[in-house]
Amino acid sequence: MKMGKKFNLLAIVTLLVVFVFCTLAYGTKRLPDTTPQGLVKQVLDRVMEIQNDPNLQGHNNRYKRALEIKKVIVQNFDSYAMARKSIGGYWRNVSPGKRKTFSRVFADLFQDSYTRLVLNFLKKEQIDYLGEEINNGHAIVKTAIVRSNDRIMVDYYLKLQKNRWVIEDVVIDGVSIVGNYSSIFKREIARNSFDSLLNKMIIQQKAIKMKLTENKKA
Amino acid sequence: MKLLQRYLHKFLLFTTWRPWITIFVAFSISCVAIFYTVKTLDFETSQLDLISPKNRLIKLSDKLDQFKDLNPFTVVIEAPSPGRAVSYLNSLIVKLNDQKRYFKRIFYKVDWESMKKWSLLYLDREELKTLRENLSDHLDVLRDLDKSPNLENLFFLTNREMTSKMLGHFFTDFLEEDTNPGDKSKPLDLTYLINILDGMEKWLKGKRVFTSPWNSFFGSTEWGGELDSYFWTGKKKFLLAFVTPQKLGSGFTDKENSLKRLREIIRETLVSFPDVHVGVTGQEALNTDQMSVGLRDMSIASVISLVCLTILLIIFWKSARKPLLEITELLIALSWTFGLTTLFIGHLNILSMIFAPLLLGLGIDYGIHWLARYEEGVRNEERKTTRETVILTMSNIGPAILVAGFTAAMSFLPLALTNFKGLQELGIISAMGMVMTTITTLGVLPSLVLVFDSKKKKGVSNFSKSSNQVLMHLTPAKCVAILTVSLVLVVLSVSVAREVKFDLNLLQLQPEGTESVDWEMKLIRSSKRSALFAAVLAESPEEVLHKTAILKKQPTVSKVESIYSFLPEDQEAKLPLIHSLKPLLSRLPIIVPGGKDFDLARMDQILGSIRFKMLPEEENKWGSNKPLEGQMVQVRKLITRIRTIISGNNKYDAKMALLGYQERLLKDLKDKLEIIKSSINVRRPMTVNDLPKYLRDQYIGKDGEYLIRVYPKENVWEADALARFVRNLQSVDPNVIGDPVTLYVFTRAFRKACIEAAVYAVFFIFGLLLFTFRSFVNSLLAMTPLIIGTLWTIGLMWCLGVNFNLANSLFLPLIVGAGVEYGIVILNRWFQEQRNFEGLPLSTGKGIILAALTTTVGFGSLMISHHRGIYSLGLLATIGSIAVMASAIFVLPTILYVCGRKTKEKAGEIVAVEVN
Repeated sequence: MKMGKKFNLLAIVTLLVVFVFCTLAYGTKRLPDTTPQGLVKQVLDRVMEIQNDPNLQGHNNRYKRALEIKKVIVQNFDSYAMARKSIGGYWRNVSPGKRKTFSRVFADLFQDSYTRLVLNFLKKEQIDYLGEEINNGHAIVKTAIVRSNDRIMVDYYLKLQKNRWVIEDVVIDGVSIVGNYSSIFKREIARNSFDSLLNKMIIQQKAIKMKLTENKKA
Repeated sequence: MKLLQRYLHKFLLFTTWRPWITIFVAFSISCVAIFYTVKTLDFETSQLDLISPKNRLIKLSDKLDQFKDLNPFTVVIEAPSPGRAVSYLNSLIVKLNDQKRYFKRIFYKVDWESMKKWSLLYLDREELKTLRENLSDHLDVLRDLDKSPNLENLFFLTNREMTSKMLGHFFTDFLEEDTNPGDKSKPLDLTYLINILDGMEKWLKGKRVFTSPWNSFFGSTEWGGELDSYFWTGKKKFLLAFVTPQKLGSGFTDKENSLKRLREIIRETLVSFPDVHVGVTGQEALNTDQMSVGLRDMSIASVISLVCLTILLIIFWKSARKPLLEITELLIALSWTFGLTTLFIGHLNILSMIFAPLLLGLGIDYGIHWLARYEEGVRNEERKTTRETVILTMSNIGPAILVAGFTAAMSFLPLALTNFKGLQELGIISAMGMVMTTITTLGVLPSLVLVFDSKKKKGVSNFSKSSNQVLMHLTPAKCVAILTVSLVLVVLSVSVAREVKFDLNLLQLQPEGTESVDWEMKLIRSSKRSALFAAVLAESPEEVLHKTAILKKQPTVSKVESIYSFLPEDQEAKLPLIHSLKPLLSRLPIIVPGGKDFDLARMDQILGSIRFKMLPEEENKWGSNKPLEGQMVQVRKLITRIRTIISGNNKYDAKMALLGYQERLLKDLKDKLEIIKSSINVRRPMTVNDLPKYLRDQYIGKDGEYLIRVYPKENVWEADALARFVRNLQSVDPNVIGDPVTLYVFTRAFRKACIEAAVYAVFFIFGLLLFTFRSFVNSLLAMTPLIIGTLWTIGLMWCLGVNFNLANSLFLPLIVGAGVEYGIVILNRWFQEQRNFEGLPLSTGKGIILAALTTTVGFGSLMISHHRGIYSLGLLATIGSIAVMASAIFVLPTILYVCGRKTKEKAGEIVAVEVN
């Protein structure tokens, strides 16, 4: 009986130690690799590295650059959350099937658009990092693109997701990309319907795919 | 001639029986005539007064009297911005309102408060749609601006909109393209931003000029708000105000004082507005200016002419006494003519007013010829008394002067046969004047000489010293040379005669550098809104609309204006569009005037962001909405300059200036939003009764008739354009009236009358000469200086590029009169010399030269005038009198010398035959 009691205690302590270690080990593993500002800097540096890669220069390599940039965007942006926010209250009224379709199509369109924006916008920019604010799993990284005496403020909104920071919105000069989507989508839904919006997005998605295929062939 | 000599001898005995009595009677009649003239003579100043009152056009034109203020002075204001023009006008109006003595009425705007509610109806349907769309698009900006109404926030919101556009290009263009296919490639209009930045820069530099940026913000270039209650030419280039002058005094320039006062007040007001340009034009101002310039230049020319004439006469006579006697005699003739004009005609018109200088120019010649022969008599007949010399002079030159005087009268009288009242009166008055001058030369001058020149041995002039000499000794060789040269010149003149036209172009007559003309030309060039308009009358609203529709289609018409032009078009279709703005209105903010303070440094930063987007390397980020490159450059430059100022040392002053601009900007926005709000409650279309009464009175007459003003497309100061315009309108409505029609009828009638009068004059003169000389050949010889001189004049006109025109053609009778006079005087002398000429006797020759020089000096002085019509008149009188004189002293004596030799040869042959 005494032996039995000792075993039980040891077992409990062992379990506790294992639990604590496991918990600690789990917790240590789940901490984000970098800060929000670090992530943003990584993303921007990578994008500019692609843009300035001597092997990818010229109009003929635009497609290749676009593919590389799109990979960075896919990895670091939460397109699903952006899709949901872009239609705000309507999200609740949409069937799960349509939500899925909408999110997929939105992701495609956003990634393509943002790729084009980056391709056109960022090359050899001087970017000032003006600091970050972290609050309850959300963060804002403030940056400025500087050119001679003028600057454009670009704020990145991030959230912690599965132990890593992902970008869920970019606010350029006070204008949110998600907000921009939101106002246009709302108008379209108000004027026509959600289905109309989705159809138009699908048509646009097809057009982009066709263009990509053409570029690929070229 | 012998008969004339006998009668003139009796006449002389009668007038010189008691010379003092003759002089006294002459002066008494003059005094009575002057008194009567001053008391009774009237002036008719309108062009319409020149045409017969029985004329259909005149009768129709009387109908225009029922409309108020048809021809006011037009004040034209050109300013850097419409707002600035209005500020100037408002300052001017305050001052003009205090001058009731000079100005009867001032019309410069319609009552804005009563018109405000209708203002959206004045936009066209497309503009209303754009307004609705833009209001909807900018609603967030307006509401966000309302939360913090200041420049910083306005730029923040503008920048935000721009960024949205740029982002929209990348992310949501596919939806925009679908909803607004037309906007796919529509560039973002930066006009409103440019206007704001431009205004800010000006205010920062101390120029308080405000141009509303909100028109482009709301998408309408025509929507000026309260500015639209003023009168503008197209695109608000010129602001117009209409001032009806009081008639002060009478005569040609009864409105001159009002015009002068108006210009004085304009200049005074301009002191505070150095960037504004203002002028006065309009038919009334053009008339007044033309008359003022004409009369002023005529006065200056008269003084110059009088001084030069006096000097010339004193040099020729070597004495001041004879010129004095001559001028006295001429003034008596002039006063008599004025008296007769007052008695028989009762008034002078703008054509007949020139009779006085005409009379002086021609009449002085007779005195010169008379005194020249008198001097010759004094020299040759030393033993004779003054009375005997006067009698001899009368016998020698009297008949020639009588014939020349009546011939000159005959050259004017045909004007009375024309169908042009202005010329009829001029013809009658001038003919009376020539008769009076002839009478005083033959009836009063001898008495004056007897009384004032009895010491005849003193002061013998060139004439008497050289009485036996000839002007130029003629030889057969000289005759051949003179006749050959003359003939060549005649042939050349005839060959170019076709090139000399009768130019009806009124523009060629306008005074150079006259304000009203310059501004009229400015108006025509920039807005095609001439001060001249044709008038079409209608009896009912339906007729107005019907005629307006037809007139608008005419190729020569630029604008048709009736009372209905002041009403918005297509009102029934616009009202629903205006009502559709209602849902937006509830969300429209009430902008607080004045605005709030702002952070200058923050605004500077936002301006930097806007400029960033305007950099050349940013162009491709705009996509299909990319603003026009020129606008981007403009914005960039303006922001650079503004930032330099606001980041400088004087931040406080910069802030104060911008706060001032902000106040004006927000007040303007508030006004525009109020217009939208007040327009929304309009339930019915606007009618004529909603228009201000003053406006209605201008277009709806007391007799209930409607006036349609038709403005020409071309410059109707040019004769061809005027003809096209009037003929075109007459094909639509034969009863069309107004200034262009009057001008057209007037100029055509005038040219016709001049040509008719010239033809009649030649026949009349030739008939009179035939009657006097009883010989076709002698009559033809007497007309030689006229015929050859006129041809040479035309040749000289071609050389100098001068055409006949409405002004200078009036002096053709002067040349005709002088030409015939010289011919008669020379022929008379030839007869007295037994048709035996070795050359033209010096006294006769110098008399003719002096007579021609007096004309040249007298009328040549008119060439100092800025008035191109008066200048051309002086030029024609000068070249005409010189040409006629040259033909008189060279060609006629040569012909007479040749005729004399032939007569002698024949006589010699007869004698030889008889001897043999």
